[in-house]
Amino acid sequence: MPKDSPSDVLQGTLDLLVLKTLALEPMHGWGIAQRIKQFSRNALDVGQGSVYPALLRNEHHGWITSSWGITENNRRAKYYRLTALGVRQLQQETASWRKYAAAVELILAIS
Amino acid sequence: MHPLSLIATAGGRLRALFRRDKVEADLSEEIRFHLEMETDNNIRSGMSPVAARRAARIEFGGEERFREEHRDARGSRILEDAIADVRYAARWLLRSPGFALAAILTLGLGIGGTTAVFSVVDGVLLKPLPYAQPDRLVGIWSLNSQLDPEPFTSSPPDFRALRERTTGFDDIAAHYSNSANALVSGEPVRLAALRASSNLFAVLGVRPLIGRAFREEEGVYGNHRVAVLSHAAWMGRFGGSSAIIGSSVAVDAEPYAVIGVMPESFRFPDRRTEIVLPMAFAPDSRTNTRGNYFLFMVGRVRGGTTLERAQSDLERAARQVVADHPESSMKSARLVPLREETVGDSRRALLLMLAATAALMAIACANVAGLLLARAAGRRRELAVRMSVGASRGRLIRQLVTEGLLLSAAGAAVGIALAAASVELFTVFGPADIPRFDEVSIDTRAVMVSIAISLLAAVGFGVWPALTLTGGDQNQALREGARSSTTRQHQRLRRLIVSGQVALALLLLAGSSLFLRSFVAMGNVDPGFRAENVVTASLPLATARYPDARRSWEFADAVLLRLQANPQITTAAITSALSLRGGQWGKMLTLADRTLPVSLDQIPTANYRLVSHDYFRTVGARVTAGRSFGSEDRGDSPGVVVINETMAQKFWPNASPLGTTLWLGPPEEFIASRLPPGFRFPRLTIVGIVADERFEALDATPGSEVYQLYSQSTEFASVLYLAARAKGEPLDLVTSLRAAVREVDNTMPLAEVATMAQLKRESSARRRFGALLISAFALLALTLAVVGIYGVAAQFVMHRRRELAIRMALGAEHGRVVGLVMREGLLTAIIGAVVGLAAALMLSRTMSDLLFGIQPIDPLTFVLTPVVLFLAVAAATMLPARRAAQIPPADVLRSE
Repeated sequence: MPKDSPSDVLQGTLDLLVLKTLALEPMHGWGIAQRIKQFSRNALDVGQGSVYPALLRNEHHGWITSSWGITENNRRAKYYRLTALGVRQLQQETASWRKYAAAVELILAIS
Repeated sequence: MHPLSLIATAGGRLRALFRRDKVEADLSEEIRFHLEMETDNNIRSGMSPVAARRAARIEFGGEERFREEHRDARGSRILEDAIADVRYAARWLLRSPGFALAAILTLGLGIGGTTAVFSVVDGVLLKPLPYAQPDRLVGIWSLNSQLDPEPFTSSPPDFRALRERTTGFDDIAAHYSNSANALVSGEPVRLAALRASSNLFAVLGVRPLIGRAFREEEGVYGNHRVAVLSHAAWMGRFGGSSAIIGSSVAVDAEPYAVIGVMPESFRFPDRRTEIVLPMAFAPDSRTNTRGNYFLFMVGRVRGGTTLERAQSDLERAARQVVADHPESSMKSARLVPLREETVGDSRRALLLMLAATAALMAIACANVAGLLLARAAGRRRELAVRMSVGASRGRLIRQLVTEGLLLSAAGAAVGIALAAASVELFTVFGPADIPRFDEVSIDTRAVMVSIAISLLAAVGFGVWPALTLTGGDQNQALREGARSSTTRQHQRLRRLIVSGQVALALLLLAGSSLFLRSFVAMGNVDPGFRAENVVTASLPLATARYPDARRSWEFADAVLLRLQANPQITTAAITSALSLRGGQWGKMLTLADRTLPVSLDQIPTANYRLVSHDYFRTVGARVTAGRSFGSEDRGDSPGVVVINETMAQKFWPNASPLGTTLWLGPPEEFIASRLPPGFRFPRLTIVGIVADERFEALDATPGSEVYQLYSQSTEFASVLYLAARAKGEPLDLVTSLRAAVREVDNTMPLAEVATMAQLKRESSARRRFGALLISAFALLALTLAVVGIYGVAAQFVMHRRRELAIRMALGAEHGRVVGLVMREGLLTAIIGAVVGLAAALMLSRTMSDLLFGIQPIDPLTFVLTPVVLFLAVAAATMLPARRAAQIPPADVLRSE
C-alpha cells in the first residue's frame, strides 16, 4: 500500500479550495495549482496532479464548467469557471468548513 | 445532493463513458500544458531545461497514479477497468502463447469430452421416450418357470386373458417383430415389420403423421390387410409422397392398404421398424396357442396407480389365468418400466463412460488450476511492483480473475466445437446397437454444466493466488522474488493437484488396459466356425407361399441343388439359425438315460437348429467326436442329432453321450391332455459332438446346442439362412446366389447379405468402440498428468535454482542434482499412483461383467499401467532435472 501523504488528508478539502480559487476568476489547471500553493504559502503540499481529479469531480457535480481557451502567452489551455450551482456550493462548503474548523479549534484549545 | 447537480453528475459520467477517447485526449493535452508551464516556470527560476522538466514531473506526481485517480473521479471506472482488464489479460495471454494454448486446449478437451459424453448419456438414458406420459408405460413379461424366473415373452391367448383381467392398466398391447417380403415398385424387398395388436398406437400415445392408426376391428383376421409405414421407410422406399395413403402394397404376397405414416420420432421397439401391420391370426393358426411364447407386451399403467399396485394387479390376473388354463406355461407376470427396458444393457457402459469423462474433466481443471498457480507464483514480483506504484489490491484481484474468465471462455469455445464434432462422430461411427443412439444431439445443459465447472476452476484458481500474493508485505516480495512462503504453499497445493491427476490418470489407464485386453481376448476367441470365405444371407419365407415345413424344405433343397452345381462354391448349407445372425430357438429336452424330472418346470432345455447335410463343413465347425450328418441320414432313416461340447459336458461330464437317445420335448405323460392320443416325440440318437459355436456374440458364453437335419424334422422356420463357402472372394458369389434363389422362387429376396468375417467384425464393434474411446481418454489423461508433473518439477527447479547452484558450486555431482529434482516429481507421482491403483482395483471388481476373457484383477494391467505411468513421469521430470544440472552455478549466483 502506498504510504499516506499530506495531500491524502486534504483531498476532501481540495475540491473546496479549487472552487474558492475559481471564485476569483476563470483559470486553467496549472494556474489553480499555482494559486493554491501561493495562497497557502506552500503549506499545502498538494501534488499538482491532484488538482485535475478535483476539477473533474467538481465538473461532474456541475459546480464548474470548462472550455478551451488561449493563455496570455498564446498557449491552448483548458479554462475552468464557476457555475451558479458552484457559487452556492462554495458558500455552503465555506460555511460548513468554518464551523468544522472552529469546532476542532475549540477542542484543541481545551487541552 | 441538489437534484440538478445529480443530473449534471450523471450526465458528466455518461458523457465521460461514451466519449472516453475524447476525454482522455483532453486530459493528455491538459497535462502537457501543465508540465510545459511548470517547466517554463522552473527555467525562469534558473534550472537547466532538463532539470526543469524533471522537477515539473516530480511536482506533478506519478502520472499513472494521477490517471487512475482521474478515472476514479470520472466514475466510469468499473466498465473502463473491465475493458482494460480484458485487454490486459488478452495481451498477457498472447505474450505467453504456450501457456495460453495449453490452458485453452486443456479446458477445451475437458469441456468438449464431458459435453459430448453427457449428451450421449442424456440422449440414451435420461431423455424421456417420445411417447405420451412415458413414465406410465411398462413392458410386461411372462414368468414361465419357477426354476428360472427370467422374464419371457407371452403367447396370444395369455396376452388376451391378461388384457381382459387386469384393472390397473388403461390398456395392454402386444407386438412382435419379424420381417415381411414386400413388392415395392416391382422389386422384392424385405421389410422389418412390426406386428402389433390394433391398440398399440393408443397405448403408446402416438398418432400418425398422416393418415390414421389401426382400428379395433383391424386386429381381426380378414380385416387385417392394412399397413402403417415408418417415416424412414416412407421417405426411403415409398417415395415420401402423401399420395401413399390409400395405395396398396404387396406384403407376403397379399395386398395391404397403406393407411398411415408415423412421425420421424416413432421408433418402436427400435429404429429398425419399417412397417407396422396388425397382429391377426387365421382361425387355424398354429401360433395362436398357449404353446407359443413370442409376444412382447407393453402396458399403460392407469393414471394414479403406482407401479407396485399395477404389479400386484398383474400378478393377481396372471394367477387367475393360470388357474383357468393349467396348460399355460405362464406362472406369473412382471412389469418393467419401458425406459429401463429400452435402454437395457447400455446403461452401465454409458455410466462408466460418463465417469471416465468426469475424471478427464477433473484432470483438465486441475491442470489449468496448476498452470494458473504456477503463473501466479511467477508473477509475484510483477504484482508487487504494480501494487507499489499504486494499483489497488482489488484491482489486481480483478485482473487475475479476468484472466481466468478469458481463459475459460476461450476453452469453452474450443470445447463446444469439439463436442459438436465428436457427437457427430459418435452417431456416425458409434456402434449401431446402442438404442436411441441416433437421437443424440448436443445437449445445452451439458454445455452449461461444463462451462460452469471450468469457470469455477479458472476463476477459483485465479482468485486464490491473487489473494495470497497481494496480501502481506510487498517489500518482502520485491526483495525475495519468488522465494517466499506463499510460493511454497502454492507448490504444496500444486503437488496435491498433480497427485490427484496422477491417480485419475492411472485409474483411466487401468480401465483402458482392461477393456483393450477384453477386446483382444475377444478377437482371440475360437468362434467354433471358420469365418473366412463364407458368405451368408437370409431367406424370409412368406407364410402364404410356404405354409408348412414340407414346402419350405423343398425350397431349401432346390436352392442347395443349384448351388452345389456352382464351381465357385466349395459347399453350401441352409439352416434355421446361423451364428452371429439369429434364428435359434429353444426346445425342452428329455434324455432317455435319466430318471424323469418330477415336473415340467425342471425339464432341461437346449438351443435347437435345423440344418442341411453340409452345414458343419460349410461354416467350418469341427466335429470333435462321433460323426457329422451323412448321406445315410435320410427322411426315412432313424433320427439322429449332433450336439455341441457344452451340452456334452453339461449332461455327460464323465461319459460319452454318443449313442444315447433323447427327444425334443417333455415326457409325453406331462402334457398328455394337449397331445393327440398315443403321440410320441421322435426318439433321436446322438451321433456326433461339435466344437462350440459362438452363436449370440463372440463374447457370449455358448449354451447347449442340438443340431438336427431338417429332412428328418417336421419343424418349420419362417426365416432360413443360407451360407456358402467360396473358393475365392465370398462376395463374388452374391450374384449367383441371388440367381439360384430367383430360379426357385422369383418373389424371394436374398436379404441381409454379409460375409461371416463381416459379422465377426460387427460383433466386436461395440467392444472395439468402447476400448478405443476409453483408451483415448486414458491417453489424454496421461498426457495431462505428465504435463502436470513436468510443471511441478520445472517449478521446483526454478524456485530452487540458487540452492541447486550452491550445491553444485560446493561440488555436488550432476547425478545428485538430477536425482534431487526427479525425486520431487516421482514422489508426487507415487502418492497419486498408490491412490489411483487402489481405486482402480476397487472399480475393476464392480465392472467385472463388462470385461471378457480376463480376470478383473488382471495382473498384466495392474503391473504394466503403473510401470507405464512411472516411465512417463520419469521422462517428464528428467527434462527439468537435466536442465537444472546444466545451469552454470556462477551465472545463477551472480544473477541474484
